[in-house]
Amino acid sequence: MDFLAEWLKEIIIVVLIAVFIDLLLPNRAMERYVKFVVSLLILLTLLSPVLRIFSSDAKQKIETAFAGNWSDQDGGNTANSTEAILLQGEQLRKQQEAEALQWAGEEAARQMKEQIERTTGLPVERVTVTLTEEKAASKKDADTKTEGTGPSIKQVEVVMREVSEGSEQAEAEESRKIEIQPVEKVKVDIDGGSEGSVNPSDSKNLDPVTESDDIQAREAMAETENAISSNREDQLEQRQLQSILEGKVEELLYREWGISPEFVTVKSGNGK
Amino acid sequence: MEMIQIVGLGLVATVLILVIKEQKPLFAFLIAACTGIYIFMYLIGKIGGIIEVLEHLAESSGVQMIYLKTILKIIGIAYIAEFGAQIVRDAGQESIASKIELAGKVLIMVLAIPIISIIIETVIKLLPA
Repeated sequence: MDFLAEWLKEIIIVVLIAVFIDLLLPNRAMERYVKFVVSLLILLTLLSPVLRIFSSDAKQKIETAFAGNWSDQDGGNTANSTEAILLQGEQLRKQQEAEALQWAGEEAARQMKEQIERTTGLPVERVTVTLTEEKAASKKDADTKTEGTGPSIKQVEVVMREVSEGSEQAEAEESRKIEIQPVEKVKVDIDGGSEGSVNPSDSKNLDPVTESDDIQAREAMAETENAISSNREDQLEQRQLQSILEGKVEELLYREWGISPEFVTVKSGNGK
Repeated sequence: MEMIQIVGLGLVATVLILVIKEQKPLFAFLIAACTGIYIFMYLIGKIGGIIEVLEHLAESSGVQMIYLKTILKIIGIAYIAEFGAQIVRDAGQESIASKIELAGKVLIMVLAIPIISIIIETVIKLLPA
């Protein structure tokens, strides 16, 4: 829909400009010729979606066609056109290099992800690798895996999936369970106070409702306090685990890929 | 006010030309040419304003600048060819004036060549081979 709107806008503006030009023309003699060229332009605008379907670089093609014509008109000779060809070649080379770099980055990221998952046993959300083509700076990194003057890894971002399972997280998981339970109980208490229908033992003998409620509330309070403290511990522990994990990942990446740790960032997926 | 200035200039130039024409036809032609150039120069500023608006319009609406450039080139060719042809025609050289106009027409058609080639290419691709 966006594309359609863009296209319509383009057509409208071109037609408007054409009408304007028609009015600006000095005399009738040129009118037929100008009208012909302008109508061709409108036709080209109308055809632009078709052009785009048939060739991906339609815009560039049009530009080169016009530019070639104009340079001929302006007395440009072969030197000019060779320059244009060289420029085009340079552009193509850059584009190819960028594509190759992106592909290499994706591949490296995939392998890193596998390695990290294998070594740490934790699921990895995603790994983003940023590559740069610094010939001089890559000397240090180039010794390890990549070729002599190839691209170097500038930055690695590792995002871990939310850590809720895994051998190292057993304790954390346990404390989380404790954290969940009291919340449920408190809820039940509130319901029991108002209706007494949720907690079956309370609803059957209505008399000791308040007492048991009190006790239960106290218990719940204590447990929530416990839970909060354990939660804090949990957080601390998680932070520790996180740093351990970070160190592990960084060490792994340094060992396997020769990436110095300052380029590596490890995040956990908890944030989202 | 500007219009009055231009008309006044034109009238003065016409009277001068009528006076001089009998004695020195060459100077009459020079006066005519200079007046024409002056008015043309005066108008160029105004046309520049219009073109600026058009450019702004095209830029904001995302029309390819190459289209606008082509159209502007067409206008430029048309104006210059027309101007030169009229001055020459005033001097009584009808044949040279028509040659200038022909050159203008040919140059405008040359501008259309890349457009035609692209359109034909697309149409050929559209047709089943």
